[in-house]
Order: sequence, then C-alpha cells, then structure tokens
Amino acid sequence: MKRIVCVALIFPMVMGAFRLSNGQTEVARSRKDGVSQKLALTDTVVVKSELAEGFVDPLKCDGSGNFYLMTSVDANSGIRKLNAKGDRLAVFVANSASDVDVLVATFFSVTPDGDVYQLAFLRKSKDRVVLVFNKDGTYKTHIKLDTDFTWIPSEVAAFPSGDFLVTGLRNNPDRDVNVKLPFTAIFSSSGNMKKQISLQDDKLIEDLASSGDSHVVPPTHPLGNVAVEGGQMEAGEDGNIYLMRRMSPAIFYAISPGGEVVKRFFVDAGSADLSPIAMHLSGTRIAILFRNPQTREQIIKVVDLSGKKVATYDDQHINGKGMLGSAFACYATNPAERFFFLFTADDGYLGFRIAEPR
Amino acid sequence: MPKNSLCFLLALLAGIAIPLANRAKADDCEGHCYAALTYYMHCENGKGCDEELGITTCIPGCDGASCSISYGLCCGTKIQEQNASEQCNPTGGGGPSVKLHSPALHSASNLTDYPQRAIFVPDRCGHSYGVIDVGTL
Repeated sequence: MKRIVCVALIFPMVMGAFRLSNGQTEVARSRKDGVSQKLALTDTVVVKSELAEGFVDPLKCDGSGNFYLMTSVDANSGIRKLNAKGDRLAVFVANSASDVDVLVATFFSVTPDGDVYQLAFLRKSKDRVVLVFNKDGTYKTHIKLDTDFTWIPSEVAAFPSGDFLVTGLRNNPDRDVNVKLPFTAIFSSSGNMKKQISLQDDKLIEDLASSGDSHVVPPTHPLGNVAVEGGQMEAGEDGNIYLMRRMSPAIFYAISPGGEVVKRFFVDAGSADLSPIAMHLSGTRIAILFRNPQTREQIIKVVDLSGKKVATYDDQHINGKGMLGSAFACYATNPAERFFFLFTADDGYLGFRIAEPR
Repeated sequence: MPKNSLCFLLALLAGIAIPLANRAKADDCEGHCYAALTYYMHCENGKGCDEELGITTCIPGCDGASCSISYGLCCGTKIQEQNASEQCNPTGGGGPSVKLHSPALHSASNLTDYPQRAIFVPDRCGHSYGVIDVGTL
C-alpha cells in the first residue's frame, strides 16, 4: 500500500536542555564566570563576483586567510576557495571525480597543506567515500571507507600522515532497531579502518536517541541524531584532531594520530538553550558559536586546546537583531583576534562581515 | 535416487536459497532502500532573516524504504529537501516505488516548478514561506 509521507521542511534546531554529568576537565563554565565582551563590526565586504544564497555547513578557512564555502551539496556545485578579497582561487567539485558517480558531497576539512578531504555519497552504491583534492582544486583520488556495515559518515579531518578521522552514525546491528549508533574510527589513506575509537559520551547520545529525546532526535526526522550529524571536526596545530558533538554543553575530544583520546572537555555557554553550531581552531584557541534557535541569541566562547576559558563574546544586537548571523566562517588570532561571518547581500552576492572584540 | 527423495531435496534447497536471495537483496539494496542524510545550512540575507536549517536528503542505504520530497525557502532561497523514512524492506514487497533526486538550490522568487500537491506554510521569516509536499515519490 502506498504510504503517504508528509515531510516538515524545516525542523527546528532543538538542542541543549539537558545536562551532562561532567566529571572531567574544567570547562569554560559560563558567562557568569566573567565579563563577556562585545564584538564590533569592523568591516563589511560584498563580493560582486560571487553569488551565494545560503551556506552549507561547514564553513572553513586556512592559515593563509582563504575561505572555503559551499552553497549546495550536489555534486556539481563544489567548494569555493576565496581569498580575503573574495577572489576565487579554486573550486573543489565532486563530479570532477571521474572514477566515481557522486550523488552528494557534504562535510569537508582542509589540511595544513591546503588539500581538501570531503565526504561523498554515491549515486548507485551504499559505499561511503572520501574525496581528496589538491589545493588548486584538482581531483586527487577517492578513498572508499572499508567497513562491513552501512553507515552515514558526518565529519572528516585528516592527520598529516594521510590517515584520517571519520565520525558518523552506523546502522544498528539489530535490524529491528531504528536507532543508529555513533561511530568513530581512523582510516588509512587506502581506506582501511585502522582503529575504532570509543568516545565516552556516545552511550549517552545513543540512550538519548533511543528514548527519542528531542535534543538529539529532531521531531520530524526520527532517524536523525543532531549531536553527531551537527557536530564539527578540525585538525589542530598540536597534531590532534578536535571533534565536537553538538550537545549542550558542547563536548570536545582531542584525538591523536594513534587514535588515543588525549583530551575530553566541555564548553558550556551558560544556558542549556544555547547550542554549539560552529567551531573553528586558530593556533592554540578554539572559538565556538552558540546559538539559541528560538530567540537567535548568540555568543562566542573562546577556549584553549584544553577547554580552559579565554573569552566570551556577545553578538551585538541592533533593533533586536543580531549583527553577525549564523554563518561563522573563520576565526583568526594573528595578528589580531578577528571573527568572519558570511551573509547574502543584495542581488544574491556573497558578503563578508568582520568583527573584532571591543 | 527415488523421485520423492529428489523432490524433497530440491524443496529443501529452495527453502534455503530463497531466504538467502532475499538477504542478499537486503545487503545490496541499491535502488530499493534509502538512508536519510542530514546536513545543515545557514541563511542570512542581511535584512534580518537569519536561519540555521537542518536539511534532509536521501542517499542509497538500508535504513529507509521511502523517499519523499518537499520544498521551501530559507531566507528567500528555494530549497528542495527529501526524506527517507520507514524501515528497509529488503524483499521489496509492498514498498513504495521511489526515485532518487539530487537536492537542488535555486534562485528564489517563482514557484512554477513546485508540485501541484503542496501545502504552503509560513516559515520563521515573515516575508517568506515553506512548502510541504504531501506525496511520496
């Protein structure tokens, strides 16, 4: 019997109303710990050579100040690499991979050398692959993730060795159970799974998903898991990869090239309604954008690579509206601390907003 | 071998082979089963509309047998979303016939390519709206 399925287009980003039992590292506790600072808009740039109506997560930048952005996950659109002036330097297009038929390409990371690693899903296969591009946008290779189960990778980042870390959701071994299980592993450059990594809070995430907790399971997407699918991953200068789960407080793991969880810490925005939606590393600091999806209140917390609080910044509101938006593209600390956000300007042109502490 | 024994043996083999064939189909669910992939999108039009949306699309997989489609706007940008739902039906019996479409992002402003069967609902930006398609592909 044909079944009618109604789909709610926009499911609310519901996060943050529960607390973790935090027995570990001290965290950037809350705005109550100290005085939060304001971010002031110092520059706005409209790039009239680039159209950008919406920005697919993630937004990234590199140590040279170049931006990487996607406006669609289809195989033709690609990741645009722009310099700080908005000049286009390269495009990383999934369908340039002539040896695989890509349906959609999603999360990506940029290595210190400028190579791009991107998760891709194929048109006629349940194989999951990572596409690797050279820094000039040319396609290098694809790597099939060699697992013996069906899964949906959510985030990827590469180590300098060529091994890479992937996290996502795997199908439950019990075929009668819909709830997917968080899964994280290091893969070799040939796609062999070198080591599965057990993350301490994954059982909690699984339990919340099993119970249908709306902080993890979107109401209109019962097969989803916001904590994993909405997470972030970036390589740090210390050689570790930093994985963030979208929980409130945000959960961070630093994972070494050998697959050890060398650090685990939480970053608390001070309100359970604030959900960590973006994260960027710069030097020895991490900037996390927290957002309340209902009120659109936003704050940025900056911590060091151990989770110790450095600063808290509030988004300046003018006439009740935030100044920065949610498209947090880059965090820079050298020569000065700056925050870069993207927006869609008049006629669909790409815009940059640059903010600095005041 | 007596005919009765031969028939029994063939029936036994068939009894084993048919379930195995179905299991093989479940493991190779290409074209039959779908999984739901969720990604996130930030829309910010510079005029006060500022949203973060979770968008679902369908990919080959084994946890969903139904793939439906819907449309909407994200701060004026038209978005096509899909949704995989239900358990995988490895035998294919009774499962809906599905097609897989690439998600697409178009420029805003006209609705000519929206399907006939659509419900229009307001989104969280006062000047735009979302659309829900009530049909399964």
